[in-house]
Amino acid sequence: MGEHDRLAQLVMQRLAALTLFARQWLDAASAEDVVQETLTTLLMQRKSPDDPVAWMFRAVRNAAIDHCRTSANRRRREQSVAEARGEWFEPRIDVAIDARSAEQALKQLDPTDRQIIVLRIWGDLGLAAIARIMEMGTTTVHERYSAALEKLRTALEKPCRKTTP
Amino acid sequence: MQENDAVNRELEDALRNLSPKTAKVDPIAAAFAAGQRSTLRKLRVWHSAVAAMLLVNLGLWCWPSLHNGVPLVPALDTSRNRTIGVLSGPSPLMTSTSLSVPVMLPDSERPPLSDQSLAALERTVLERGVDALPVAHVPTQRPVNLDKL
Repeated sequence: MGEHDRLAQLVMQRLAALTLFARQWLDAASAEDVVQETLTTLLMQRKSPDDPVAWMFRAVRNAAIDHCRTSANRRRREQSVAEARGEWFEPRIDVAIDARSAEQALKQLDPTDRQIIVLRIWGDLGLAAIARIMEMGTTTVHERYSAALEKLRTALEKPCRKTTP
Repeated sequence: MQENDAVNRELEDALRNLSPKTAKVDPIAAAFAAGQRSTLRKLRVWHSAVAAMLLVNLGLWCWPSLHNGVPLVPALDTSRNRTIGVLSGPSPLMTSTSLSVPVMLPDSERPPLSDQSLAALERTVLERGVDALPVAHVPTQRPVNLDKL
């Protein structure tokens, strides 16, 4: 039971990040369902994985992709999710970046780059762990991450459009 | 390059300060579901084991009653032919041979004579004596030469 408690606590700290990761494919409700189901699967494991957090992110990714495949065309769905107006972040006034602007900038990225950014920034995972989850080489992940950050910076630094009265 | 890294790090920190929306995931419900499912799995294993044991017991119970008194193979009439010996010869093709020949049955195994036959025999002996009885034809035994086989 102690082992389960430790696992649950570890995952609880990342629940929001896991749900944000699942939202790269799914709507809010489905993303929460997938995370809940994956947490149940983790707790059912006889032997806990070496890196439970990375295991959870990989399992969430697989479950979300499976969920997409069963319901509709994946790419079209990803596109529609990206275009949806579901807010990914809590709006806060004490943060330098506006939550909605950050969401819009992220949505402009390539889906794979966006997943890497989410895993690195909010999942707090290392490049090697991200490479395993994304089934890519570490160098590729590093290159894509740097390029995606650059694109994000450019998108966020764009001056606000002037609205005509 | 270093300047670029510093800018990227600054952006990373700024993004990290954004907190993703809290998820409505219930870890207690997940733990409960996990326990329930693993219990169900164990229960299924026990059900299968019990079913297998019942089948084995049923089979063992039925086996003697099926074969009690009923012969498994049709009985052979072995009253006439008996194996009287096993011959071994020097030939590499025939190392041992079983010979079956007609033999005289012992008294205990012979079928009893009918009353009519016994009466006829008695009458013949009384009228003509023992010499009137028919001569018994005992088959003559020929010596078997192993070399000829």
